[in-house]
Amino acid sequence: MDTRLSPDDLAALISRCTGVPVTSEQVTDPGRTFDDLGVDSLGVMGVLAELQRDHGVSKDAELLTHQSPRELLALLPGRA
Amino acid sequence: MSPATTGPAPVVTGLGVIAPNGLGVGEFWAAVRDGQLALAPIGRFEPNPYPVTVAGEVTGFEPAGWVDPRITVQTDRFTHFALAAADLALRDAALHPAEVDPFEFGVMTASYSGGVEFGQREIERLWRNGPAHVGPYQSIAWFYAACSGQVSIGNGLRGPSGVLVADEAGGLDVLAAAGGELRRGARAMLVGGAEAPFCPYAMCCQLGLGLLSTSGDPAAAYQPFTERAGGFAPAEGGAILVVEDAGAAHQRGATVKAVVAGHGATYTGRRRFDRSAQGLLRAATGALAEAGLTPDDVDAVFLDAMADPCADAAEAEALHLLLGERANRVPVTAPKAGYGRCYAAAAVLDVAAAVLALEHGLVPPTPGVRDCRFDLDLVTGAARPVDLCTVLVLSRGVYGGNSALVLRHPESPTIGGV
Repeated sequence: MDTRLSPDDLAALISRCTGVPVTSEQVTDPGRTFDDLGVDSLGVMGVLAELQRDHGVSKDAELLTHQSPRELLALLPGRA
Repeated sequence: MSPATTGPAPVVTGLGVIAPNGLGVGEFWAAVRDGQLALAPIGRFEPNPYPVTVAGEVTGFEPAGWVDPRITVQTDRFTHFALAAADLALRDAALHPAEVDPFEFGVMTASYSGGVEFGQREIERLWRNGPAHVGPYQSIAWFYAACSGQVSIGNGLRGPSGVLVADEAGGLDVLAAAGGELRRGARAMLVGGAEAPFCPYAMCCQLGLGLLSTSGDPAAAYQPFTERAGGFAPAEGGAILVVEDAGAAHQRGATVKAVVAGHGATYTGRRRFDRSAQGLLRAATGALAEAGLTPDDVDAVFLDAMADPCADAAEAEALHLLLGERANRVPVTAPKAGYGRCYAAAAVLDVAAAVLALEHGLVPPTPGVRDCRFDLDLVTGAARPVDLCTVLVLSRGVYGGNSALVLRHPESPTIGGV
């Protein structure tokens, strides 16, 4: 299981799952929430599911749209 | 409902079409008028091991430019068609959604297949990789109401909205449903339907109907009302109409294309096309009565055209029962023989073609058909100039629905209304 994921990788994953173009700067900006980016709750659910499946994020992790991609990065193993 | 209790009938002010024979009414009407053939070998999925190999596919359509990328990933192709058609219809009507109170502007679509291609993709992930691989958008993408939902969200509409899953004839019933909402206070409705049933899963569902043509020749695959009728060619695509309260349309100075004057619907049972003669007759009689008209007023008929020998005979019988001695003099036509049968969107495309026929004073031909085996005036070859006031559109579902819609030229005196 590949658990290494750079901000660029996460930005690409979010873009692919949600159709919202996202940059690596945006995913590392602590003030930028999924709501700000225009990612809805189903989009966040899909992103989280993929990270849980392929990138070692805990099955118990939860994420809501008022949180930021930066918080999601922190959920990745070896990054907390 | 008696004509006396209805207000002015709803009016069509905009048309948006995404069809195998053209994107937008300009291309669509030119192809329909000229009887162009838009059937071709299925290319949407490969390999195709199934006995149905010819269909009407919408080629040259990409969601980019029509659909917001974030909506594209969460929707099926049928919703992409609906969003594009809605956009075209609003432009055609010169109506910006923001001009109407959002609670007085709704969406009503008909659906038969739902988001099957998206669904197949997710089901494949489920079986190959497990439940964790199914994306959350499956929950909304496959759903019959996806088009109504996305069109309303995308255009900021909050008025009465819904979806009719009422077999193929739902494509006409949806106009009656929208008319009801206009009577209850809505000012404008986006009305129509879209289908994109070309993936292996959807194809297998259709094969079970036993009504599809297995001809491999695009020019011979869909030959309704002929001795060679051996099923229909399926199609994808859709159409959305802007239908407005007549007063509201007048108030904003809209150009009225047609009046939705009457609707009737009956049900005669699954695979009982023999009974659909009476079913269509009663639907048509009801629609004409609602319009305050009689069969003598019918200037042309857009046919259901199942291309099943029994179903074709029943439709011909319905016309003879309805029109009497005029049955072989009233021009009738089936433009869908040129681009295929698009399930719940088939009748909506017929309505679009009928509105354009009223506008241009032309009855378009039944493409590829030369010899009608019934005593009917089936228009073939070139479009026929006719002074059209009243057009009847007929639709049947493969599971037994029969519906009829009466459209009138805007300058016709109108009594009834759906």
